[in-house]
Amino acid sequence: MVKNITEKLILAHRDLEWYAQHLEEFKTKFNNQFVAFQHQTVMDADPAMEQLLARLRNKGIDPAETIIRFVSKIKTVL
Amino acid sequence: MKERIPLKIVDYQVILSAFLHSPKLRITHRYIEFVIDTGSPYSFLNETEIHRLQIPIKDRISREEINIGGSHYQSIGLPKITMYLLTEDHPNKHVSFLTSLQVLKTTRQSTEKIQTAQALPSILGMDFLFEQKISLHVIPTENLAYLQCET
Repeated sequence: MVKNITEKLILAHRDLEWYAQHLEEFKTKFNNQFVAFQHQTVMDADPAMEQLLARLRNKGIDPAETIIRFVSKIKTVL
Repeated sequence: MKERIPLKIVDYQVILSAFLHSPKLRITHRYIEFVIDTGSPYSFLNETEIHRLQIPIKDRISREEINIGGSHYQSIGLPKITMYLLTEDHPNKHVSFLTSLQVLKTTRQSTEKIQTAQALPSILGMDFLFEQKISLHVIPTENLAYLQCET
Protein backbone atom coordinates (compact mmCIF):
# COMPACT_ATOMS: atom_id res chain seq x y z
CA MET A 1 0.00 0.00 0.00
CA VAL A 2 2.83 2.40 0.96
CA LYS A 3 4.57 1.92 -2.39
CA ASN A 4 1.25 2.26 -4.17
CA ILE A 5 0.54 5.68 -2.60
CA THR A 6 4.05 6.89 -3.47
CA GLU A 7 3.67 5.73 -7.06
CA LYS A 8 0.30 7.45 -7.30
CA LEU A 9 1.82 10.67 -5.91
CA ILE A 10 4.64 10.56 -8.48
CA LEU A 11 2.08 10.10 -11.29
CA ALA A 12 -0.04 12.94 -9.87
CA HIS A 13 2.97 15.27 -9.92
CA ARG A 14 3.61 14.34 -13.56
CA ASP A 15 -0.07 14.97 -14.39
CA LEU A 16 0.08 18.40 -12.74
CA GLU A 17 3.26 19.21 -14.68
CA TRP A 18 1.48 18.23 -17.90
CA TYR A 19 -1.55 20.38 -16.95
CA ALA A 20 0.68 23.40 -16.28
CA GLN A 21 2.35 22.98 -19.68
CA HIS A 22 -1.02 22.93 -21.49
CA LEU A 23 -2.90 25.48 -19.37
CA GLU A 24 -2.96 28.27 -21.96
CA GLU A 25 -4.33 25.85 -24.57
CA PHE A 26 -7.01 24.68 -22.09
CA LYS A 27 -7.98 28.28 -21.28
CA THR A 28 -8.73 28.87 -24.97
CA LYS A 29 -10.55 25.59 -25.47
CA PHE A 30 -12.47 25.31 -22.18
CA ASN A 31 -12.87 28.90 -20.96
CA ASN A 32 -15.15 29.08 -17.87
CA GLN A 33 -15.71 25.32 -17.73
CA PHE A 34 -15.14 22.57 -15.20
CA VAL A 35 -12.78 20.08 -16.84
CA ALA A 36 -12.26 16.47 -15.74
CA PHE A 37 -8.74 15.10 -16.25
CA GLN A 38 -7.43 11.56 -15.87
CA HIS A 39 -3.93 10.33 -16.73
CA GLN A 40 -3.01 13.38 -18.84
CA THR A 41 -6.26 13.15 -20.81
CA VAL A 42 -9.29 15.45 -20.89
CA MET A 43 -12.26 13.21 -20.08
CA ASP A 44 -15.04 15.80 -20.40
CA ALA A 45 -15.92 19.44 -19.72
CA ASP A 46 -19.00 21.47 -18.87
CA PRO A 47 -19.81 24.94 -17.49
CA ALA A 48 -21.99 23.23 -14.84
CA MET A 49 -20.10 21.03 -12.40
CA GLU A 50 -23.15 18.84 -11.56
CA GLN A 51 -23.76 18.10 -15.26
CA LEU A 52 -20.11 17.19 -15.75
CA LEU A 53 -20.25 14.74 -12.83
CA ALA A 54 -23.50 13.21 -14.12
CA ARG A 55 -22.07 12.75 -17.60
CA LEU A 56 -18.89 11.14 -16.27
CA ARG A 57 -20.99 8.67 -14.24
CA ASN A 58 -23.15 7.91 -17.31
CA LYS A 59 -19.94 7.05 -19.20
CA GLY A 60 -18.94 4.68 -16.38
CA ILE A 61 -16.17 6.99 -15.12
CA ASP A 62 -15.95 7.46 -11.35
CA PRO A 63 -15.45 11.23 -10.83
CA ALA A 64 -13.39 10.45 -7.72
CA GLU A 65 -10.81 8.84 -10.03
CA THR A 66 -10.48 12.09 -11.99
CA ILE A 67 -9.32 15.56 -11.00
CA ILE A 68 -11.69 18.40 -11.78
CA ARG A 69 -10.28 21.87 -12.33
CA PHE A 70 -12.14 25.05 -13.21
CA VAL A 71 -10.43 26.56 -16.27
CA SER A 72 -10.89 30.25 -16.98
CA LYS A 73 -9.14 33.16 -18.61
CA ILE A 74 -10.39 35.25 -15.70
CA LYS A 75 -7.97 35.37 -12.78
CA THR A 76 -9.23 34.36 -9.35
CA VAL A 77 -7.94 36.35 -6.40
CA LEU A 78 -8.47 34.59 -3.08
CA MET B 1 15.49 14.74 9.67
CA LYS B 2 14.27 17.51 7.38
CA GLU B 3 12.08 16.47 4.48
CA ARG B 4 11.15 18.56 1.44
CA ILE B 5 7.68 18.26 -0.05
CA PRO B 6 7.65 19.51 -3.66
CA LEU B 7 5.06 22.08 -4.75
CA LYS B 8 4.20 23.22 -8.26
CA ILE B 9 3.72 26.84 -9.29
CA VAL B 10 0.85 26.97 -11.79
CA ASP B 11 -0.46 30.33 -13.03
CA TYR B 12 1.24 32.07 -10.05
CA GLN B 13 -0.53 29.77 -7.57
CA VAL B 14 1.43 27.37 -5.38
CA ILE B 15 -0.16 23.93 -5.71
CA LEU B 16 0.21 20.92 -3.41
CA SER B 17 -0.68 17.45 -4.72
CA ALA B 18 -1.98 15.09 -2.05
CA PHE B 19 -3.93 11.92 -1.42
CA LEU B 20 -6.58 12.00 1.29
CA HIS B 21 -7.82 9.08 3.35
CA SER B 22 -10.69 9.03 5.84
CA PRO B 23 -12.78 5.91 6.51
CA LYS B 24 -15.30 8.06 8.46
CA LEU B 25 -15.89 10.16 5.35
CA ARG B 26 -15.68 7.16 2.99
CA ILE B 27 -12.65 8.71 1.26
CA THR B 28 -10.20 5.99 0.19
CA HIS B 29 -6.86 7.39 -0.94
CA ARG B 30 -8.30 10.01 -3.27
CA TYR B 31 -6.23 12.59 -5.15
CA ILE B 32 -6.75 16.28 -4.47
CA GLU B 33 -4.94 19.53 -5.18
CA PHE B 34 -4.69 22.43 -2.74
CA VAL B 35 -3.62 26.02 -3.26
CA ILE B 36 -1.26 27.05 -0.48
CA ASP B 37 -2.65 30.37 0.71
CA THR B 38 -0.80 32.17 3.51
CA GLY B 39 -3.55 34.81 3.42
CA SER B 40 -6.09 32.25 4.64
CA PRO B 41 -6.19 31.43 8.36
CA TYR B 42 -8.07 28.17 7.65
CA SER B 43 -7.88 25.14 5.35
CA PHE B 44 -10.83 24.11 3.22
CA LEU B 45 -12.06 21.55 0.74
CA ASN B 46 -14.04 23.29 -1.99
CA GLU B 47 -17.61 22.46 -2.98
CA THR B 48 -16.59 20.63 -6.15
CA GLU B 49 -14.59 18.15 -4.04
CA ILE B 50 -17.64 17.50 -1.85
CA HIS B 51 -19.53 16.40 -4.95
CA ARG B 52 -16.61 14.68 -6.72
CA LEU B 53 -15.66 12.61 -3.67
CA GLN B 54 -19.27 12.30 -2.44
CA ILE B 55 -18.34 13.50 1.03
CA PRO B 56 -21.38 13.12 3.32
CA ILE B 57 -22.03 16.52 4.94
CA LYS B 58 -25.84 16.67 5.16
CA ASP B 59 -25.93 15.85 8.88
CA ARG B 60 -22.98 18.04 9.80
CA ILE B 61 -23.62 21.37 11.45
CA SER B 62 -22.33 24.62 9.99
CA ARG B 63 -19.67 26.12 12.27
CA GLU B 64 -19.72 29.70 11.03
CA GLU B 65 -20.16 31.89 7.99
CA ILE B 66 -17.10 32.99 6.03
CA ASN B 67 -16.51 35.56 3.27
CA ILE B 68 -13.94 34.79 0.58
CA GLY B 69 -13.39 37.14 -2.34
CA GLY B 70 -16.82 38.69 -1.88
CA SER B 71 -18.65 35.35 -1.81
CA HIS B 72 -20.45 34.04 1.24
CA TYR B 73 -19.93 30.46 2.50
CA GLN B 74 -20.99 28.18 5.31
CA SER B 75 -18.06 26.42 6.95
CA ILE B 76 -18.63 22.81 8.02
CA GLY B 77 -16.07 20.95 10.15
CA LEU B 78 -14.89 17.44 9.20
CA PRO B 79 -13.28 14.65 11.23
CA LYS B 80 -9.47 14.52 11.01
CA ILE B 81 -8.24 13.36 7.60
CA THR B 82 -4.96 11.63 6.75
CA MET B 83 -3.05 13.47 4.05
CA TYR B 84 -0.28 11.73 2.09
CA LEU B 85 2.41 13.88 0.44
CA LEU B 86 5.40 13.01 -1.73
CA THR B 87 8.87 13.82 -0.41
CA GLU B 88 11.55 15.20 -2.69
CA ASP B 89 14.82 14.17 -1.06
CA HIS B 90 14.15 10.47 -0.89
CA PRO B 91 12.60 8.87 -3.98
CA ASN B 92 9.82 6.36 -3.42
CA LYS B 93 8.93 7.86 -0.04
CA HIS B 94 5.98 9.82 1.24
CA VAL B 95 4.98 11.48 4.51
CA SER B 96 1.53 11.58 6.09
CA PHE B 97 -0.22 14.09 8.35
CA LEU B 98 -3.43 13.86 10.33
CA THR B 99 -5.04 17.19 9.60
CA SER B 100 -8.13 19.29 10.22
CA LEU B 101 -10.13 20.46 7.23
CA GLN B 102 -13.42 22.22 6.75
CA VAL B 103 -15.70 22.24 3.75
CA LEU B 104 -17.12 25.40 2.22
CA LYS B 105 -20.69 25.46 0.99
CA THR B 106 -22.05 28.48 -0.81
CA THR B 107 -25.19 30.19 0.45
CA ARG B 108 -25.80 31.78 -2.97
CA GLN B 109 -28.68 30.75 -5.24
CA SER B 110 -27.96 32.25 -8.68
CA THR B 111 -26.28 30.02 -11.28
CA GLU B 112 -23.44 32.50 -11.81
CA LYS B 113 -22.71 32.84 -8.08
CA ILE B 114 -22.85 29.06 -7.60
CA GLN B 115 -20.34 28.55 -10.45
CA THR B 116 -18.06 31.19 -8.91
CA ALA B 117 -18.22 29.40 -5.56
CA GLN B 118 -17.60 25.96 -7.07
CA ALA B 119 -14.63 27.34 -9.02
CA LEU B 120 -12.87 28.28 -5.79
CA PRO B 121 -9.88 25.96 -5.23
CA SER B 122 -9.33 23.87 -2.13
CA ILE B 123 -7.10 25.84 0.19
CA LEU B 124 -4.38 24.97 2.69
CA GLY B 125 -4.06 27.95 5.00
CA MET B 126 -1.85 29.03 7.85
CA ASP B 127 -3.58 26.64 10.29
CA PHE B 128 -2.12 23.68 8.36
CA LEU B 129 1.42 25.10 8.39
CA PHE B 130 1.23 25.89 12.13
CA GLU B 131 -0.52 22.66 13.15
CA GLN B 132 1.99 20.47 11.26
CA LYS B 133 5.03 22.72 12.00
CA ILE B 134 5.77 23.05 8.28
CA SER B 135 7.64 25.90 6.61
CA LEU B 136 6.81 27.18 3.13
CA HIS B 137 9.59 28.14 0.71
CA VAL B 138 8.97 29.94 -2.59
CA ILE B 139 11.92 30.92 -4.81
CA PRO B 140 10.47 32.77 -7.83
CA THR B 141 13.83 33.21 -9.60
CA GLU B 142 14.12 29.41 -9.79
CA ASN B 143 10.37 28.79 -10.26
CA LEU B 144 10.74 26.56 -7.20
CA ALA B 145 8.44 25.98 -4.24
CA TYR B 146 8.45 23.40 -1.48
CA LEU B 147 7.29 22.67 2.05
CA GLN B 148 9.80 21.59 4.65
CA CYS B 149 9.05 19.54 7.74
CA GLU B 150 10.87 17.55 10.42
CA THR B 151 10.24 13.80 10.49
